[in-house]
Amino acid sequence: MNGTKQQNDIVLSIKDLTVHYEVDGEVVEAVNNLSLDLREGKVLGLVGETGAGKTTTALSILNLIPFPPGKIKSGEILLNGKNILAMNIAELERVRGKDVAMIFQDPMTSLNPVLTVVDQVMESILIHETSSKVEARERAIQMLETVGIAAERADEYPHQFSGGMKQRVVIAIALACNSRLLLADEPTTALDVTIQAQVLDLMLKLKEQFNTSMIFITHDLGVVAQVCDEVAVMYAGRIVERGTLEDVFNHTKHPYTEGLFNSLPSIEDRTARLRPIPGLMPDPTQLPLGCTFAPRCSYATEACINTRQTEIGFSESHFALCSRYAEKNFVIDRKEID
Amino acid sequence: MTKTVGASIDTGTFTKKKSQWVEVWGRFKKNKGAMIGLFVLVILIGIALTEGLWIPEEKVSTIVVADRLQHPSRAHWFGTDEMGRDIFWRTLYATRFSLTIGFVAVVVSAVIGIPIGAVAGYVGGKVESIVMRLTDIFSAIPTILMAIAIVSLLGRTTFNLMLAVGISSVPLFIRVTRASVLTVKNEEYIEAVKALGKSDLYIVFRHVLPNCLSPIIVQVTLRIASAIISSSSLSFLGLGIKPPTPEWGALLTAGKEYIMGYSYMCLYPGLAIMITVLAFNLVGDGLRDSLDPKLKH
Repeated sequence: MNGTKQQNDIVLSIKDLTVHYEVDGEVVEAVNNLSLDLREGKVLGLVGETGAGKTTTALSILNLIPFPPGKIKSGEILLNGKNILAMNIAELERVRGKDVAMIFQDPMTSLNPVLTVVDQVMESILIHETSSKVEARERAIQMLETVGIAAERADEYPHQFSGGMKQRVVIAIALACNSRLLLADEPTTALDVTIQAQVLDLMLKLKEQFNTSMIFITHDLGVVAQVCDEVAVMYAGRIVERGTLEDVFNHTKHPYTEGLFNSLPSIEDRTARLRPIPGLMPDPTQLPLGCTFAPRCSYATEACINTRQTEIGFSESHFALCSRYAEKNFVIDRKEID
Repeated sequence: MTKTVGASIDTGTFTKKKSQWVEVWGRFKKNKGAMIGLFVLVILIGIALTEGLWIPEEKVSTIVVADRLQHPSRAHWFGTDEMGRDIFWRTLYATRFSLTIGFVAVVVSAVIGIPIGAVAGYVGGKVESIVMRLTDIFSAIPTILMAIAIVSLLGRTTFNLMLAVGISSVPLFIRVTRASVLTVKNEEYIEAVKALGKSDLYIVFRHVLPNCLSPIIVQVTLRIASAIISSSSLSFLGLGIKPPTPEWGALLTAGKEYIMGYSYMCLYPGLAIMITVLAFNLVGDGLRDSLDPKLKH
């Protein structure tokens, strides 16, 4: 965020986003002061464990946070330069699906059981492209074929498809309008690995074809390595480390990111024990003032817990939210790979 | 929901595509009970539509005091009532009024109740609270009292009777619709459609309601039966169909006084109501199953 990036190819820019859920007097701080930028044609991996605020971030981009209890407290989400959070309903309806589309986590439940798949793909075309029904149908069938579903199955209902095929239908719906930004919320989590590979391949191919930018939400670092250009690691509603794939994977800075890598099985040393991160994520209704990861962090000092963190830059693209780097010689155990 | 038939797409393997309703009919046909129900309904509707043509007016309403209270015989298949009128003809003739009352009353309550319930359930919050509390207030008034109030207010005509019976069961439809909308609106596919930028109104009617159809259809078929019976209570109170015109409920209430010695007076109109209700229920059941694509074999 040094102003060096060119402004015009930035598709999405989130500034200082804070989202809270207010339930029975308690405030769940789901997303705190989150900022990120995404350039055209890039894939940003949003990584973090369950409850880190990944999905909330994605829903904020559509301004679909359920209210009540959700509330966007502050921040700006600029999509193609326009602030989503300041739009009225009519403007939002035009943006959703057209400028930004979302692939939901579970293909089993994200299709309407009483409509045929082609009808559901047609819908997004009909509303945003004002084409005739016949034309929309033709394009919907083309789109289904692009994602590998035969035309003669277009008039079948979702329950007649397997999980992988349903996810492809969901992708077809999301892609049908050629939106510039695609939010993929764990699109492969509900699928088995073989289908996962197929779907990922497909998404990458389509990304190349349509030059779409993508935010890829996942907790699978393997998938991130496969599809993403940039990575943002989220913990308890904050981005703790962000940078290019290379930065985050090979020059890991944040202790939490290190912990994530340590808990992956190693292919070189198959007898090595996994080293999970001890403890649990803090209660999002009572986040500590300082570093939210400090209670679980083996490098943490007294100061970490009590003082607010500021982002430390390591290169033009690589940032981490860890105050230990204020000390000259601080390094984490994970080796840098060049 | 007619959709363009896919014949215009010239992909080689694309087989001739049946329209949705053809498919629904195909599934409906396989359900024996539903077909029997439909068969009975067709006959009943046939009688209702054509009865003016072949039922002699004098058989229905001529009073022959000498023939009063006769048991079923060859001359009077269902017997005669306390004024010597032939119950067979009267029961047959009543088909039109009873069916129309049942049908129109339910259409009235469904047309009013379903959209209100759907919107209340979908929007939630204050709108829902207000609508549902009003509904509660409405349902606190006994159906028959409310119907009496409406008929006395609007005047005593057949249409007002149907309107009254219909309006008094609106709360039921609001409740049933709201309850199923509440479960459907939290489904992920509704969120997915929102993410596509559809307006709320479109989502309610295209995505939410079709998924709520089963309980509504069942409710409709059940309400047709109770509408026939409610309207008979009104007839009994002198607010329904004017007396010489036969109507199943009215025949039933007329026979009630003679049930000790002449039970057939209640039996036949009662059977007619029962058969109609059963037929509607069978058809409703079959319709629900065949409209649900998940049950497709």
